[in-house]
Amino acid sequence: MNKLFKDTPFFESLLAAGLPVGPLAERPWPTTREEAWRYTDLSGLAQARAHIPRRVEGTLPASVKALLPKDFQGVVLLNGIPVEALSSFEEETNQRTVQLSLSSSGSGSGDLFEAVNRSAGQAEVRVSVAKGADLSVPFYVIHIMNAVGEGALVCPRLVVNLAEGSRLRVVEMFLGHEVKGYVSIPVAELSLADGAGLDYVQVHDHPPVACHVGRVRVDGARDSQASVLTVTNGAAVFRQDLLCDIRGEGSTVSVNGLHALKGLRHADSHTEIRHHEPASRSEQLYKCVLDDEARSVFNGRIVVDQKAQKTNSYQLNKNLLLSPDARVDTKPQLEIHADDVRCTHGATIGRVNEEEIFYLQTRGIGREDARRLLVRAFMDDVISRLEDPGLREILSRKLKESYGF
Amino acid sequence: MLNVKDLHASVDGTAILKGLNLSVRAGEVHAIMGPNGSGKSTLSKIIAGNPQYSVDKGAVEYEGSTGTIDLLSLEPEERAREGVFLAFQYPVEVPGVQTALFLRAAYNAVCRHHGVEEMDPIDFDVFLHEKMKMLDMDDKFIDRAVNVDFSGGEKKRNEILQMAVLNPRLAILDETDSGLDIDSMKIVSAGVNKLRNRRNAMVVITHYQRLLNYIKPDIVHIFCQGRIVKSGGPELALEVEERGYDWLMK
Ligand SMILES: Nc1ncnc2c1ncn2[C@@H]1O[C@H](COP(=O)(O)OP(=O)(O)OP(=O)(O)O)[C@@H](O)[C@H]1O
Ligand SMILES: [Mg+2]
Repeated sequence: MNKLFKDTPFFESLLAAGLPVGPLAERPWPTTREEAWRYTDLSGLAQARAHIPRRVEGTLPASVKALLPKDFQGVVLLNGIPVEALSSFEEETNQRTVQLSLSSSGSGSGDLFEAVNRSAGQAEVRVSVAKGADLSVPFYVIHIMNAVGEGALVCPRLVVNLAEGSRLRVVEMFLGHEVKGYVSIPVAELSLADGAGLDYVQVHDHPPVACHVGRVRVDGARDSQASVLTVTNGAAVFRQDLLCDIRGEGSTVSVNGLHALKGLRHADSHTEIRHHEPASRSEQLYKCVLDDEARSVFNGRIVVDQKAQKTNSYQLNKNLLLSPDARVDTKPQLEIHADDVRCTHGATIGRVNEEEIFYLQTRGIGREDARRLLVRAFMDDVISRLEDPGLREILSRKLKESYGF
Repeated sequence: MLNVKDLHASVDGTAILKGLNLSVRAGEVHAIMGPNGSGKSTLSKIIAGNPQYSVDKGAVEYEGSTGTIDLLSLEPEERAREGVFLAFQYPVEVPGVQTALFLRAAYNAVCRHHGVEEMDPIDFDVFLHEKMKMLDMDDKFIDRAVNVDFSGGEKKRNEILQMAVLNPRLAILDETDSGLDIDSMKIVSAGVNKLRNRRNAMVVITHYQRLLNYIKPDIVHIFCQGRIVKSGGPELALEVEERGYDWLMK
């Protein structure tokens, strides 16, 4: 018999915390018997006793401060609550508006976790960019989980609306700081009108005990260009579902990711890219580095509608195993209903090349340094595509200082 | 400087070197010639420390910074820091690692070993450009990943650039001339000659006597079936060029 949401202690705890999850009671609870959740075991989450964290004193941890540009523009949320004193942005300029509100509750659309996110009624950050505005300075949305206890639930929402021909860079960070096993269930909805361009980067730094189940939706109209990058060090459970609907002719999405995992960490990226209209393009590159007993999952689904002729779609998942006990599961899923399309996909799983290590050694570089250099080179490939040099620097430091690569 | 004594080596149980003796002193240039598959590259890789080969018998002594050392007991990087350099017959491509960064990492690793101050990126850039000028190399190479998409000749030139940066005491050049056009060979040879002095030594492996007109050897060795079968002066190279190797293979 399939398990229902109402059968889980997690559901009970949400009800007890006063969340209007009643209507979700009969929804099925995902188990590893289901294809989409085969490699991501939510039984720990099912047992979680969630609570809504209280407001904490508003200081920025030194490690976060050191990471950000001094004059960063954006919103800082502590344990799901926006903190004005730490944030820095103008609510309204003639180029864009930023609104903070509590999400509308109860509509119940999307999958179970999107519905939970809505029910939680936590902060929503809404960024709207005016027609033709070109904003190249990144806008930061920084979630800090600070000194929260076991089961703290954080359900933020980011909504980005780009009007015709506008451009924006957004960096969303999830940083766990001095915390126990929190649960974060964020949703990002990014929509691009005709000819709009978005660079969206999601950076994660969770403690090994955290559970993260996130969703990103991208909706691109004609001639839009969306680029999404997710960089994560995983967690006890880390799952991201990235759904792109390409609704306009001539639009491009570029969806990239980096899993850099150590210890017992896990990261599962599910992408689904739907080409609805002709002559659009999607490209995906997911790179995963796994040490120790880490586990990475990549599932990339590409759907090409019948009328989406001249679609060009490219997908590649490259995995680098640093330990015999690490494990990778990777799967492409192509559903192509049009006949004049180009779709290529591939996956590789490899180890650090001994010949390359030897070559570096013969130049005096120690074996461990050589190995590190090669692993970094593997990862930098994803990061070096970012146009913003400040952001490249931030990620490069994150990989070294927090992820330990 | 280098003393190879009765070296026997194999890979996966197949013997490749079968009792090799070679002695190189400071200030000397030795040339090694010999048929394909006779074991020349194997010797050079064993000296550099490639773990694929197993040494079954014999020894390799090397005059290091602290006196005579058993070279085979050192890790490859330790050998390099002690001044052993191999210009690969087939230089390895290292995707994603920028050449300039790689060269500086290598240079500074050697500095650290000798307790010398490391060079900062700006000074190193000046230093590196001097070496590149000597080898008539274009700036663009050092921004690219090590050897990736380099032409055959460019890879060989990059090997000699590394040699120029590391300034080794013992350099083994394994067919550095193969793949170089005539002009490149002249430039690279001139670069190599500039690096030559009384305190260092070179072993030049080649199939073509022509190279030896530019890099003049003191001694020429003929390698056959895992051993040196004949040694002589530069005229020996001319002789094998004319007669081939058959007469030496009895
Ligand atoms: N890693 C290896 N595995 C198996 N066989 C090897 C390996 N390395 C070398 N050999 C074999 O050992 C023999 C000697 O090879 P080596 O590369 O040393 O020859 P060489 O004298 O450098 O030849 P060339 O002039 O063609 O460069 C060859 O028969 C080669 O096939
Ligand atoms: Mg050879």
